[in-house]
Parts: sequence; structure tokens; C-alpha cells
Amino acid sequence: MPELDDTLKQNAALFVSGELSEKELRAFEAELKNNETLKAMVDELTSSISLSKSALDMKPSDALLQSQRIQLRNAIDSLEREQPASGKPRLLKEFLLRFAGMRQPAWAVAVYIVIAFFMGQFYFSNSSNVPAPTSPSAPDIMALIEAGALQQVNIKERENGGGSIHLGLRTARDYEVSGNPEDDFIQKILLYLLLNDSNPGNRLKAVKYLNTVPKHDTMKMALMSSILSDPNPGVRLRSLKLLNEYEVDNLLSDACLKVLLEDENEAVRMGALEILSKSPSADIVPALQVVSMMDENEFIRNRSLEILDTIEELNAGEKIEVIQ
Amino acid sequence: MDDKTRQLIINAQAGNAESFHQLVALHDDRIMALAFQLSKNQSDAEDIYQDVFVKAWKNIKSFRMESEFFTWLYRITVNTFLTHQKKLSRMKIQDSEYDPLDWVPSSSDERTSSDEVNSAVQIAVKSLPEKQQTVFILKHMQNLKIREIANIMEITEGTVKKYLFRAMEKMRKELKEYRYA
Repeated sequence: MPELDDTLKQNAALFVSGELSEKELRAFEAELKNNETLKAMVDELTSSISLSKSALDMKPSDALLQSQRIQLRNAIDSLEREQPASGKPRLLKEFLLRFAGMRQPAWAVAVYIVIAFFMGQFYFSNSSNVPAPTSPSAPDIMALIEAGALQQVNIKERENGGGSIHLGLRTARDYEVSGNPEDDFIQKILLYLLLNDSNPGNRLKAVKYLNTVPKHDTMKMALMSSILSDPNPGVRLRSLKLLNEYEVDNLLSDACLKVLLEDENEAVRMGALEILSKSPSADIVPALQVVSMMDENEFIRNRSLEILDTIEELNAGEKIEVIQ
Repeated sequence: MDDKTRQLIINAQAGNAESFHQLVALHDDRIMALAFQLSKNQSDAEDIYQDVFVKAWKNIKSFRMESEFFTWLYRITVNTFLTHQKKLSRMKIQDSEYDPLDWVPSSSDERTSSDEVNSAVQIAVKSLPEKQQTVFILKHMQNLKIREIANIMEITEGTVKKYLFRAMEKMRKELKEYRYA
């Protein structure tokens, strides 16, 4: 087939894009009738656009937009108010204290104890259980962690490092350590940073990198601790997103209930609600009933009602099975 | 620009955050879709979304109603993407770049591509230089006119056409073998 000149090729692209003027369009269509090479090119262009659209042309779900809007609302509120909202008592907390007499629900205490136990086991275990540093020049980071001596950590992703990260650690002397988030040693530092670093940026980065490693129970415990205690809503939200990939057991369910009832951030509460919706059981009904009536966010109230309906349907299904 | 949008902008310029949030709700689906198409990563798209609207709130007083509001937002989105691109995470390069439950196809066309075709499209788009990629997405995913793209990217229409042609040529060649997929 003869080669097309550049002007014709450009006009073919503009034709497929619907960007030719009327005069150009008439001339192009006349050419198209008699030029098989041009026809083939137009077909290929049309096909590539169509394939691209079917692969890329997606719109965000309402739930995603709603969570982003809530986050944005919080960000703008924070910009507008000098004082963070943390000092403000939550409506639900007041409700629970006043009407339910639940100063600290028993399940919440249990959650704290279990998490503290796991965290303690993890961080303050006998140093003989701690893996040796990965290279002779690497410091005994685990000993520093145990001593609570890690500070001013600087996390960077290594250029062309195939996903590996670089950690600058300052203690009595400065240390530089590199490795992949999959490395047990690096993971432990990341978990330590998530739970202890005073810089929210570092805690956010820690969750971000933890997202790339296989999930395990220790990480789950650290993430649960993060959603219950991190002062930064962004960190809590990212931790919740990671937790969403775990199976919902009683412990996670209890932690999410606590977040749902007490967290001041709407996006975080919604994240907890989404995890709870994965495991709709009768145990969460009382809390959902409270939230469906009392939460200040309409979307959260409505979503709670939807989950309650699901639970009701499930229960009805079970009853029918029993009767049969 | 319709009267409702104009009034919301005036209120937001006067410091009314509620009006601004209503403006967000009118435009954010397109901004999120664009951010996702540009970054191809949900987490980055969410970061861009937040940055765009925080910048819009901080700078709403500088919006002079001389262009459409969405054009102004698109300009912020494209600039945010280009500025942050190097900073954005490249960690999540495996399978889970987005949660499929968070996204739905835009068109009513029910046809869905195979994973192989989707992957080929992703690779082809990613291989485009960033300005060609941006023009291609604004034109064919966001269905904007060349004039609007020129306005958003602050370049001439001739330059937009040049980028568009080059991008489409590359996409045509890269996806030729999937024509009948």
C-alpha cells in the first residue's frame, strides 16, 4: 500500500477526533472514498480509540466520591479553623455516656488489652528472637527500637531501586539502611514508625509501603492499633484501607465498631463501616442502630441502615431455613 | 456557565464553604476520573483530587468567570498531576492499582475488554510522553474540544493538534494487533 503523507495522517487523526472544519471534512471524506490506505488508517485509529475508551473510560463510584468529599470537608474545615476538632466531644460519645452508661465498653477494653499484648510481644520480645541486621554495616536497629531510640527517620524511595526504600536513621550517630518493604527487617521498622514516629508524614509513608507487602497478623495488629490511636485522620484512613483487605474477625470487628462510634473524622468512620459491612452479623446491630440515628453524617446514617437491612434479610433467610 | 454555578462561585468567593462543597459535588466525578486516567493509580488519584480542591478553595477568589469553572478545575488538575508526577508513588506497580469496586464504566456500552487488551492499552498510554498522554486523555476520555484543551494546558491549538496526532499515531501502532479483540 502507498505511504500516506503527513498532512493526510494528521487529518485522519483530526477526523477521528471530530475536529475537522466543515470544509476540511468534505475534502477529507472525498479522499477517503478512493483511498484504501487512508481507510485502513482511519479504521485503525478508530479501533485504538475505542479500545482505549473501554479500558480507561471509567467513572468513580458514589461511595468513593462520598468518602473523598468527606475528607475534603475535613481538610477545608482544618484550614478554616485554627484549632483542630479533636477537643470537641463527639455526639455519639455523649450519647453513649449519658444513655447507655458505657464509659468504656467492655469489648473496647478487651481490644486494647489484646492489641497491647501483641504489640508488646512484637516490640519488646527477647532480643534472641530478633533477626540479625541484614548486612555487617547495618546497625542493630531492633535494639534501638527496643530502647525507643529511633528518631528523625527519613524515608525515601530509591531511584531505580525496583521498589526498594532507603531509611536514614538518626540516633547517637546517623545510620543509612536500604531494603525492600518485603524484608522482615524493614517491615519491622515500618511498623515501628507507624506506631511511634511523631511525624505524621512518616507514619503515612509507613502505611503506604506496608501496602505493598503480604498481609500478616502482626501487621494487622499494628494497623488496628493505628486506627484506634493515631491522632492523624489520614493515617487512620490509610490503615483502615489496608485492614479492609483482611478477613473480618471479632477483634477487627470490635475495633471498627469503636472507630465507628467514637472517631471524629467522618471519612474514617465510613472506612470502618465499610469493613463492618463485609461481615454483617447480629453482634453489630446495636451499634449500627445508634449510628443510623445519631451520626451527624447523612451518608453514614443511610449506609448503616442499608447494612442493618442486609442483616435483617440474612436473619430472615436463616429463620426460613429453620422452619423448612 | 449556568446561573446556579455562578451563584455558588460568588458565594464561595465570599467565604461560604458550603457553597464550595456544592460546587465540588457538581464537578468532582469528572475531576476524579481525570485524575485516575492521568495517574492510573487510585491512591494517587485520591491525592490529586484532594490537592485540586484544596487549591481551588484557597484560590477561588482568583477565578474571574472568564472561562467555564470546570476548565479552571481541569487546569488545576493537569498542573497538579504534572507537578506531582515525579513525587507520586511508583510502589504500587503490581496488580492492585485500583479497587474495581470503586470504579464503574462511564459509557452505557456494556462491552468490556479482556485483561490482555486493558493491559496493552495501559502500557501504550503510559509509554506516551506526559503532554501527549494528557492531550490524548483530555480529548478522547474527557471528550474536550481542542480549543478547551489548549486553554487548560495553556498552549496553542496548533501544539495541542501536534501532541494529539503523535499520541494517536503511537496508540494506533501499539494497539493495531488488538483491533478485532
